[in-house]
Amino acid sequence: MSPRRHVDDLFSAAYENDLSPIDDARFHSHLQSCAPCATAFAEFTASVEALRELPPARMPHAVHLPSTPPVAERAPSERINLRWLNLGLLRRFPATAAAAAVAAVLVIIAVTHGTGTGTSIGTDRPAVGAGSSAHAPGTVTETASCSQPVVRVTGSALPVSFSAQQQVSVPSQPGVRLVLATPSLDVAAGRPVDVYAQLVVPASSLAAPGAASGTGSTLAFRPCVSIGVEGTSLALVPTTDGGNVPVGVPQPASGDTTGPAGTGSPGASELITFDIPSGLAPGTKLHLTATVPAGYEGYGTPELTATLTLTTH
Amino acid sequence: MDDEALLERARRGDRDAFAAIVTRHQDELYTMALRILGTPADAADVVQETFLRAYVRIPILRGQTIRAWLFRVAINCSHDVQRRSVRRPADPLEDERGNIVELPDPAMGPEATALSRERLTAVRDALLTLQPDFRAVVVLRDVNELSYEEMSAALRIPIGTVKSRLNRARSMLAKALRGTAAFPGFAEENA
Repeated sequence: MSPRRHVDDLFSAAYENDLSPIDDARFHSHLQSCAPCATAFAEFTASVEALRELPPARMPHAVHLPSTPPVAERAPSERINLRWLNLGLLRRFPATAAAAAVAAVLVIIAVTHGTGTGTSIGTDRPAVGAGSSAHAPGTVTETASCSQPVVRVTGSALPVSFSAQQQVSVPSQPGVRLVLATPSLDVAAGRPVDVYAQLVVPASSLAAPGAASGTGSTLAFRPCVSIGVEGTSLALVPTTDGGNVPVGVPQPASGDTTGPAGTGSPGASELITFDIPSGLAPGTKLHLTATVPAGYEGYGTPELTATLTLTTH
Repeated sequence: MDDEALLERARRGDRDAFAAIVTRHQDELYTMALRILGTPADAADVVQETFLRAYVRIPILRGQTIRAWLFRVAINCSHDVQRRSVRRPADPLEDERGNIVELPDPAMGPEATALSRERLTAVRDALLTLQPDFRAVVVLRDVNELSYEEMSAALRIPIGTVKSRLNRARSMLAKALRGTAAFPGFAEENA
């Protein structure tokens, strides 16, 4: 073994003054007797010093962030404090505790399914979690984290000409899928751009009584969709809300995504159009973002965000 | 306000808190990406992508040092760019708008300035000859001055591996600088 191989391994530690006193003494003793090692260590030190001379650089433009808040945190759910069970109530008064439990269950059932209130849950309404408000079919829903409503739509397949796309899925919830797509990532200033944005949730996974079920049955929503212009605070708003089906776009095949008849918002579609401002220089980047807030409508999904970067030409 | 406090506010939906995190870390992430990739446009894309990923993952970022986590994401993004290996023809001493981003000290004379610039170029080019893993470790330590613990978290390797890889990377860098005009004192070939 050559002496040089020994100290090669110690160069960094020696440079960082990270050697033990004994190793440090051996290291420098070796350098005095080994010219190649002394030269190599001098070069090593000079290289690191030169690297450290490189000046810090500055991010040349502002980082674009989605227009929606970073997280739509759900209100902390009320939790029943069960610590009183540790008092031995069950052991001491088992019959009383059992009776109380039965009474509590009966009260809950009476409240939730009470007669004479005139309320009923439609069979075509998507399941909602505890604490969520009920929405009539097709109701436009405002969410706290989104400046644009997330709306229920009847659902359609992705048009074949929308080749630029991003799909976001939730590993723990198979079948939940957010799709954001547009015909091309290259857009023209002063021209409209069509966007397809759709969240699909399997109806069979919903828990509410009367929820649609069956293999392949899904519910569809259009997420909050926005376009931000990189380097500016400019955010584009859609000019049409799905009323226009892009010319030349084949009509979606039925059956791929199905929703209960009549459950889509009137006029709402997963297709939406934005007008790209005419003043944008070629090469300007536009960030197209589709967002669904966490726990939207009680489906238990995390916040879902799909993004595409468009460039003007 | 420290990163953890800002992160906690961001988790509650405070966009401005996240923007403050961006402001605090964007330049060091950009510097790292620029040294690893060599092109300002790619580096800026990496920073943009890093913060977008961070933005959607805030809810699950718990018990971690946001700085190390951001560096880890930025390194992964940089490796993605390297794998695509679409190098943009740009002068790394200029940003994508043509602004000089690495001007030497203006107090230096013209000759010293030229020499300094030559050294910067040589070091930058030598850095780009290293394999990605070695380039990343040496940039994190000697450019961004991360601690061994932060490097271990960012690179997801044990501290011992960080140190041994750093030693090799620095030796490779020294070897790459041999024979360059900016480092005439370096031997052409060492024993």
